[in-house]
Amino acid sequence: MATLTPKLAVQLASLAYEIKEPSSSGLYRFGKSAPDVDRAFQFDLTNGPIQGISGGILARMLKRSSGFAMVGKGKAGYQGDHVIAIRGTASLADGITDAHIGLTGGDNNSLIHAGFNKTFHSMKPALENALSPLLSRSSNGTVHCVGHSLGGALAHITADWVKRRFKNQVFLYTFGAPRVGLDGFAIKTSTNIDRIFRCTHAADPVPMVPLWPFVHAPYQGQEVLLAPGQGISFNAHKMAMEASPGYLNTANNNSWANLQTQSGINHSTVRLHYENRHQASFSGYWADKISSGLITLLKDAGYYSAVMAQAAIGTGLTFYDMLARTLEAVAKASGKLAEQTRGLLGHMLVFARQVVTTVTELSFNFIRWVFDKTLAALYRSARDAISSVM
Amino acid sequence: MLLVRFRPILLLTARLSILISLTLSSQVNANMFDWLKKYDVHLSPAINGTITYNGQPVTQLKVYRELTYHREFLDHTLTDGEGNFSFAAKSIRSRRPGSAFDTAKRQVLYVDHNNQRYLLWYYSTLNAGAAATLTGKLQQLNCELTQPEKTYELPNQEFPEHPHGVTGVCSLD
Repeated sequence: MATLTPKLAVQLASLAYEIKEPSSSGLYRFGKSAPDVDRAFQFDLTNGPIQGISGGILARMLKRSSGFAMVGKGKAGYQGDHVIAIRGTASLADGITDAHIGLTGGDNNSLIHAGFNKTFHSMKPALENALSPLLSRSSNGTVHCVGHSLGGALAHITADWVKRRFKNQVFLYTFGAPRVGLDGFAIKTSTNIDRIFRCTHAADPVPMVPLWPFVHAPYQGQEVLLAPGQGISFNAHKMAMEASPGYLNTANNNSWANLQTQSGINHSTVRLHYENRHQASFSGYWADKISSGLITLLKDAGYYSAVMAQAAIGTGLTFYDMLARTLEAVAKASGKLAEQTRGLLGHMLVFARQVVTTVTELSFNFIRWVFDKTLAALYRSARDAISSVM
Repeated sequence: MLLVRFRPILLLTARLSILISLTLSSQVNANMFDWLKKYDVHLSPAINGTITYNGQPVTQLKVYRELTYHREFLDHTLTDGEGNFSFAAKSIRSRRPGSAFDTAKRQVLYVDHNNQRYLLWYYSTLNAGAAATLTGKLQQLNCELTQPEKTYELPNQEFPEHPHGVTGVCSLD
């Protein structure tokens, strides 16, 4: 019944990176480099790590697979439990920083990110093979799923699947993980997975993407804020002890009760006034505020349900094309709504650090351009930082 | 005419102000551009060691060093008449420490003796820098191949809350 301590969870998440590059000697000693993990779990590597395929079209065409997940057996205080540690990958980052987000139906019949789902399915048969002998026979231990970054997203989908497939108690621990799906997925998994510890640093950009309509689980629940801070810093995403703040440092605690929690964003009613746009800045706070402003505007105009429904069924248009068309219609409906739309777009331009932030027209083309600039501000630098090392 | 002559100056002023605002805004997020820099990644300190089997030095034995940081860096050496071997320190320059993602670093030393593979040293970390305790231990490794493989918990001088775990047959006490 015991949860992993924050310390153990974060070390397991970081050890998952060890399996990325194969060793030509075949000499892995997974988990042995972190004494705490070594005392609590043992990993059998006779069949090597669980492989998966991630990344762009090229990587998928080449079927380049590398170690993604490790399954460990609990010992001492964790006797009877199992852990699934999943690593992140830079190549999946294209998925979360792509403005043309693809949605797909996940295993639990709700909409999730197509890239994450694809990677999960590439490792699912191997996970099934590894877990079936361990969990099928009257095992009532807890299954702990851990992951950092995109590994956190994969751990989330995995935890939901393990719960439905094996009915064990399942706990999920993520560090700097992106949003995985729409509200349907967040609501279903919040109920299905027994406990979710979603840990973030305030300045880490990855939990800020993909933008709404993606939402985090636990749905309208708590997140564990390991480091407060302002602005957005790509260093804040790292785990390493050397990094600042580094998840390995901030989560190095023996009890969840010692760590600070805060409520996830409950999109409050926000109406943005055009003349106040210069108060906005490039920060996580304003990314959330602008999302809330957009949702409020759609609700005020009576378009919210229609937009969500269209996102859900998937139209020929990309999500942001559809959204731009909707806002164009919203702005035409009344002078008041046009002013509110102008306020939203003005704040977006200041957020995106545009030199000129005047909103002169409310046409589809202009609105779409503002969306591009806003998304690019949040996504582009991350993508550059990532692709430079590929 | 007057306007025409002033226009280049106006343009220059406009360009300068754009440049200044770009500079100012990029200062706010200066670390965004860290990925342009290259960093030192310390893959392995200098290593000296001795290999024995039942107390007798094992001579002319190939010792393999497998270092991994995004890709593998492999080399090997031979033990001398007293079973001694050594490797030079190995560092690389890389952009990866400046990226938003972590890269694991792995150090593996092993030998194949009488059709059996012996692990001398296994260590993995997400840190790019050197670890003083491990640098010290690798200055004289005593490896008796008949000893069972063991995991040692060693103090971490740089990050005291995160002890190192090193696995192998060499005695690290």
